Amino acid sequence: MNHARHNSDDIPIEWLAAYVDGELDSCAASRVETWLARHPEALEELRIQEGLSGTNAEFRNAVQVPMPDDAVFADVLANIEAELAIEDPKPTVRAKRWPWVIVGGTAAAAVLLIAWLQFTPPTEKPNQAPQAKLVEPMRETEPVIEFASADDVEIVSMFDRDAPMLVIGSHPMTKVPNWASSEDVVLEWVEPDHQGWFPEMGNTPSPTPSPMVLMPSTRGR
Amino acid sequence: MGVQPAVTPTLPPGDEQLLARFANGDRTALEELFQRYRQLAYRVAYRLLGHESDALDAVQEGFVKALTHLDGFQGRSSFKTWLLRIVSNASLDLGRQRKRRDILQLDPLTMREHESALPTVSVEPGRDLDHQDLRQALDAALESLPEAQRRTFVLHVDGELSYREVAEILGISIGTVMSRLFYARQKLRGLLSAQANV
Repeated sequence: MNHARHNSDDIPIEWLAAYVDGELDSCAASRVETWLARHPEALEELRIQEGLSGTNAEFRNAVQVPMPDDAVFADVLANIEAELAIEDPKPTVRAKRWPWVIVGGTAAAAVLLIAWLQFTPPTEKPNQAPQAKLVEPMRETEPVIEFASADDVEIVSMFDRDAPMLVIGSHPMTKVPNWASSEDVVLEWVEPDHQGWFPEMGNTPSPTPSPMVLMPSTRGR
Repeated sequence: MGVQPAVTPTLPPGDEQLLARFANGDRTALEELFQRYRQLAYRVAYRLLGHESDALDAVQEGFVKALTHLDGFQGRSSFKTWLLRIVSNASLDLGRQRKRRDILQLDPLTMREHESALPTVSVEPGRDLDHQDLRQALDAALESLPEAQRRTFVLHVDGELSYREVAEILGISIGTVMSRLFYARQKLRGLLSAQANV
């Protein structure tokens, strides 16, 4: 299977899918036809696309999903109706219950207030400021960094010139990565490399937070 | 000479009308919507799951969620695309749950065999497939496609959605739909050609 594109002056090969599905406008469809006339070797690819297209009635009939009986669908509809009925609000019942909920809630609050006033021990340092929480809740504006696993990524097409840059193999993460902030890391010294050169390092801190990922690696040192 | 009264053909109510009636508590509107889309929804669910009972569960969940979250689609898409989006989501969720459940139930030896087994159909190579065999071969081949390609293919072919509608459901560009369909068909053809000529 050849996933490489044709020459750069050609149409994208993926257009063949849209062509057989009738999804191209007349101008693009005309370009495909001209291109196919110049590239008869692509007719085999066109045939593959046509063979498995939804516009191919023979294919559609051949792979038609068998439908359940009407009785089975009737059961599903009954289940849907039942589920939707459960979620229906009952305003009349709720209206009748509201006064009792208010009265009961007020009474419970009064009992709790009296109990708290009677049994709360005197504080030793009444003027002490409350302790700050150790963990600040994440701000809504904080960016979320998403990880993609090998299952989430699929390369369907790439230029030949980029192929040598493609790294193939399992990713090095074996466990959930731990995040470290700048406060967790102290840079004590930097050693020169085997030729005596120090790496180039900026003296000014990054203007944006730059988290560091610490993760167990499968690669040996 | 008398004039015959003009007979106006009665058009079936549109989805918006049915949804408005449903919102006003008219349960027959739900029946009509269900009748209208049950086969389409079932085809998508079945093709993604390959199992009748699970597909019916996905259809049920799809209708319930689509109708309880109507504000999520109104004014932005049609009920059909909204429903198929939810049904396909539900199908993939059910498929993942089933896979996890199946793996948990397998002992390690069986699991190794399970992992190494590619979806195959018990058909002699070279023999022309009849309809049932071809359908089973397609189902098995679809199962081995990446989820994104499988979903795109199923929504377009079984859901009868245009590229634009598929792109809208999946939140991708039309070019990506085109690309996924192209390579999905290439892969399917490769898998099916081992069984027979399509």
